[in-house]
Amino acid sequence: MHVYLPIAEISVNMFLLIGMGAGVGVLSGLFGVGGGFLMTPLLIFIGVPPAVAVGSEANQLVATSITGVLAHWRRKSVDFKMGFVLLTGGVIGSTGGVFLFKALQQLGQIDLVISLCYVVFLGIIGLLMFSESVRSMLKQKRGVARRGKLHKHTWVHGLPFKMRFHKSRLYVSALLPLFVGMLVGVLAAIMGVGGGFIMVPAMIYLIGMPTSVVAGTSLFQILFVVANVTFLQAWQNQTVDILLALLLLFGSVLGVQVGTRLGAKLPSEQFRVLLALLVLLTCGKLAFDLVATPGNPFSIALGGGH
Amino acid sequence: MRRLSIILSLVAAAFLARGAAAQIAVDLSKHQIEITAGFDGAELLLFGYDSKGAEVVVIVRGPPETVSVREKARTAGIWINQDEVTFERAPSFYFVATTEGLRGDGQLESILEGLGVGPRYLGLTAQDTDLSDERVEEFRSALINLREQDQLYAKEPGRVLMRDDRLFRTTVPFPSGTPIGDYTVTVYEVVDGWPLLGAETPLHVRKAGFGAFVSNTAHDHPALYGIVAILIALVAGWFGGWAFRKS
Repeated sequence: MHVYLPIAEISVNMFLLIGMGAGVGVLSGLFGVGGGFLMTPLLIFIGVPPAVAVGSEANQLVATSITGVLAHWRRKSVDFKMGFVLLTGGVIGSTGGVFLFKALQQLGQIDLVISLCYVVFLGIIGLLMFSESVRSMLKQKRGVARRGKLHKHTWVHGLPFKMRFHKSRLYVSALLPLFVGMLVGVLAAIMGVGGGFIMVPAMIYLIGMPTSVVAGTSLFQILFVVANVTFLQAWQNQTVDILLALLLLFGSVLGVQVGTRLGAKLPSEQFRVLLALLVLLTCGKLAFDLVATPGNPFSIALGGGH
Repeated sequence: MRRLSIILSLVAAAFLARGAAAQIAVDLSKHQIEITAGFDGAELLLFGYDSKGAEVVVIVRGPPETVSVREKARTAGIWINQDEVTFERAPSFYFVATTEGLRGDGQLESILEGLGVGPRYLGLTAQDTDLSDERVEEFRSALINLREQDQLYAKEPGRVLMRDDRLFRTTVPFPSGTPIGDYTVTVYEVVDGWPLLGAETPLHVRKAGFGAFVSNTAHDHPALYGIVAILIALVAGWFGGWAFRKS
């Protein structure tokens, strides 16, 4: 059954959209990621204009992240103070990102920048995840657990404006989470992702937060960043398709539950490798599209160029 | 089909009743296409009357718009958009069809050239550019080819059927991506390769129902729309989590 998306201005099979939502939802539930990095390229692939894909996906992520934040709040695994510093950076970054998006769109280079961002970030994260989970699988086999230093002092600890974060048991410069939040905010606006896949490693390895509060706190910040992106994209560019977001949402709400239940039954290490491979596969496909000779080098854009 | 012949004969009767003054006329089965949530393309019946029973050319044009055509070229191994040509007043939709007698090679083209409205002569004037005329022509063809792929531009010699030497009719297909706006539907009587008489009828394509409401709100009250979009997502996300926590 076809449904005409009023903002994307294309007619798409309704069950395809719900199915995509469900499929990405299962993966989100399984791996605890938002899934924006899979959904946005998929939407562009089925013909949704990139700007509408990014805006509507941000809208859908508002729903996904509020569900997560509420669950973590009940378990008291959100560091609100850290979250506020992160989201201050996130709101600044994503606001800048939306305007950058508009400028790149007028230059005709937005598709290129979206693809390049995906290739670079998915490539780095995928490789890191892959090598780490393979290493820990090997370690498990050998049964050796090496213990690292409890606290390493690096350049990060020399930054000014130090702040105490009780929940995370940290005393670090506020500039660090502010900067991480900003970077993720820019990416959220340009790539149509929540940015959890960059946020989580940055919180663990760069800021040094304990893993117990990482997921809840990153979701807390993502909620505000995607809400900000949704608002700005709707206000500035009119590129949020509520109908598209709702259809994806409907599928993903169901999918996430299936994924979470599935995830509890399956060995997590092997699945981390699978997620890494999935990330690398998406990266590889996008990289291939950048270098492969296109079927038709010409494309049409409405409205005047520069 | 029977109903169609009744319509056609009524139309013919109406035109004949007006006497010799009306020599060519055209009408559509509907003057409005409503793009609703379930829209997946439409087909309209175009019919008319020509007192001479001459060959006719039918043209359906969507509202003009400014369109940029970009060409990717390889730089450092990556395909990047480089040259760009902007065309002003390119029709968003263009359909041309003729009767059987104008099917011959180049016949349609020369008539359209005379009118200045053919697919290759769409009035696609490029904005000032540093590119050579040959390059601009490549971009013009690319635009036409891309639009033909999307079924937004079509050229169908021989599609119009002539009945009883006076009545003509054809169907006009509109794809699911039909652009909205005010269209013009024109028909020309062609004698000895020259378009003599013309007649026109309007066509409106607009969004309707829930889709129209969503798109109007998005454009007229963008800030409000953004806030509502966030609220809907918050409620949906909260409800989703709640429903599954209970079960």
